[in-house]
Amino acid sequence: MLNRINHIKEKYYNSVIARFLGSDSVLQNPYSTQPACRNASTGRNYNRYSYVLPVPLIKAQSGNNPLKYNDPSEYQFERLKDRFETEVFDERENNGSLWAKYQGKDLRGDRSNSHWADYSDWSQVKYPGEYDYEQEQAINLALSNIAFLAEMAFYTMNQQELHYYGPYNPRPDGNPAANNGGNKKKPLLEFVGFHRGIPEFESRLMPGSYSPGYSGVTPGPFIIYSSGDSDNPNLNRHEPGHVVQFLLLGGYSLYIPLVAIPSLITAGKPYHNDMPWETSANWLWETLTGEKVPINK
Amino acid sequence: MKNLLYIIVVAFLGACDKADVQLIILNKTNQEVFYIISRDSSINTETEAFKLNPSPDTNRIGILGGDGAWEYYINKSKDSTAYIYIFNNKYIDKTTLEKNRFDRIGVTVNMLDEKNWIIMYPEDFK
Repeated sequence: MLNRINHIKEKYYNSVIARFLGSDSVLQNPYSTQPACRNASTGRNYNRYSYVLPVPLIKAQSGNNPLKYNDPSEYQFERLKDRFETEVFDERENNGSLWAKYQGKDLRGDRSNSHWADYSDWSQVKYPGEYDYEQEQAINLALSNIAFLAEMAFYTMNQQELHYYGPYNPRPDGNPAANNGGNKKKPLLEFVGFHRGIPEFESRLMPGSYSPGYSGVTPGPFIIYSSGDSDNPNLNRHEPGHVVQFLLLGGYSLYIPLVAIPSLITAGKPYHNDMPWETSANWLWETLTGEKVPINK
Repeated sequence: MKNLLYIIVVAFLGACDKADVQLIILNKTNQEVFYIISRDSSINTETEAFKLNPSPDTNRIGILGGDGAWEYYINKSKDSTAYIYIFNNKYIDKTTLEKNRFDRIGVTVNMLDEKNWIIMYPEDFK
């Protein structure tokens, strides 16, 4: 039993029971208020029988960790990183060989070497288990940039205005109420309810969401309006007629060639509202519900 | 890939309707009024009227169709004129016209071009 006791300068260590037999003469980090490692209490800073450092210096680190900290003097811990830097620097200044040993080749006297330049900023060197704040920040920045660029591309593709009008960015015409009260960013796609059983959505991608005007599209048995325009009678008494057409034509097989494509072609034309696929939608909805489009023939 | 194509077809091949909103009616009174726009020089009491908020609201009046839909609509009428009927709320009950009392103005495309497509009530109705 006795020969398993190791003398390590300041105190003895029993390798059989894995315990120090003497206490540290120095409290390592007495002012730290960090909670200790898992299942430990804050009082562990005053445990003088642990190795190096009972509790972590910062929350993300782990205490009692000989891989991260070293205690060559047995009086006060030091970080391996600090020791490594000091040794390398000292050896290099003294024309020693330690730096060459670490790098695998002799770089003595050559401060302009690129290897030295690469590792001259030691704050960038990471050690196993060390929490990498810079990396996390870089990842967060990259993700936010990607999200921003994606949104910009989305708006550009849809030729939407990029301005979000509000109290600090008033509309050019000075009238915030003109655009459906649209002073805040509107949802990409929002379910707004049913109009006589037909599901209705609003999307900021539809023309008129951020610019004067309004629009609607009926891609099937549901309707998508520009943001804030689902209660516009010009739209919500016409688009449901397209849903009726969709149902009467038995789905996409006839609806797309007979209504959708022709409507898409004439959507930007002045005579759009007089086309049979549009007037029939008005007529169908008015016949079924009595709701008449305000401005019609 | 098949599902993606389906989504594209459904998303872009719907019946699409866009509005021309170049016509503006400014309500210069201090109360909301109601309006009807028609190509007929007379209206019946069953015609539905729609609300015009007082200024500074810019009441853009829309018609489905691309740019130029308003010109097309007006020029297709018998006398190339559209009629704007304004009702003070004392004449009507909500949006249903009850009494045949209104202010009316007939507008042509040339007239609207001169006014920059902005009609003011009551100034332009005298």
